[in-house]
Amino acid sequence: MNVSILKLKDILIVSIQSELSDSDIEKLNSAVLSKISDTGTKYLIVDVSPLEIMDTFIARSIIKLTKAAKYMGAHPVITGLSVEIILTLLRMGFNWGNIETALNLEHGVDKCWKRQADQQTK
Amino acid sequence: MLEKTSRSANEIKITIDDENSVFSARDQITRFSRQNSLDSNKLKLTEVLTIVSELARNMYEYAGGGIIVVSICGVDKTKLKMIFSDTGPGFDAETVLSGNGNTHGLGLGIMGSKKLSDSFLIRSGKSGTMISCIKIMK
Repeated sequence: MNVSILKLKDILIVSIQSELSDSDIEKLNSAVLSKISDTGTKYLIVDVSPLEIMDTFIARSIIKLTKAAKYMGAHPVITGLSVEIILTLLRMGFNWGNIETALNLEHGVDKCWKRQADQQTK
Repeated sequence: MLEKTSRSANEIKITIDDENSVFSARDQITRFSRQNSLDSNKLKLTEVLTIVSELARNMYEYAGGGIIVVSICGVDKTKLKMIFSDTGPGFDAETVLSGNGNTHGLGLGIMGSKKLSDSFLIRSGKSGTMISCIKIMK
């Protein structure tokens, strides 16, 4: 299984552990979106730290997943993009759009909790 | 799993015929780079493997498969040359490269691969497509 899905309080953490095929991506999307639908989690973290290479197809697939999560009311954060992946996609002219990112899972979780705390004090 | 490569000293030939072979191609090219001491620059290696991922995926998606020939070139043997060939339906290379086409799928991968390459040649027509990329590894 190359993906793990964990729930940490109000955060759904999806860790992509190895290369994803077309059918893996489809399964990933349904699994994540139904989990969001069932549990009503407010945050989705997609951690890609195990990936050493990311082509535009995978990057676009991840963006689609995060957009779908957003439409379902879960705030998405991508974590664990390596320096090489970031520089390579940048050089290719790839546009990440308005997606929130964090250096690693820990930072990502902190960001979500801080955002949750900020919203509660409003 | 049977590795679909044939090997000689300075060149490897990889067959792309299913989704797994795209992933396997990256591993084989990583090994080939290491064997030829061209894997020291991590960023350049990442760029090479990303080119491979993009173009091998295109071959599989649009042409049903193809062949990648990887070799070492340059007087000082510091350049990696990759030729991606397929006998698919081809596409309008000029439109794609001018950036006026779509920014998704085929176009994005090819434009991106060109930006990552030090030298990039493409010929595409009804009888197939050939893309040649050269990357200076050191």
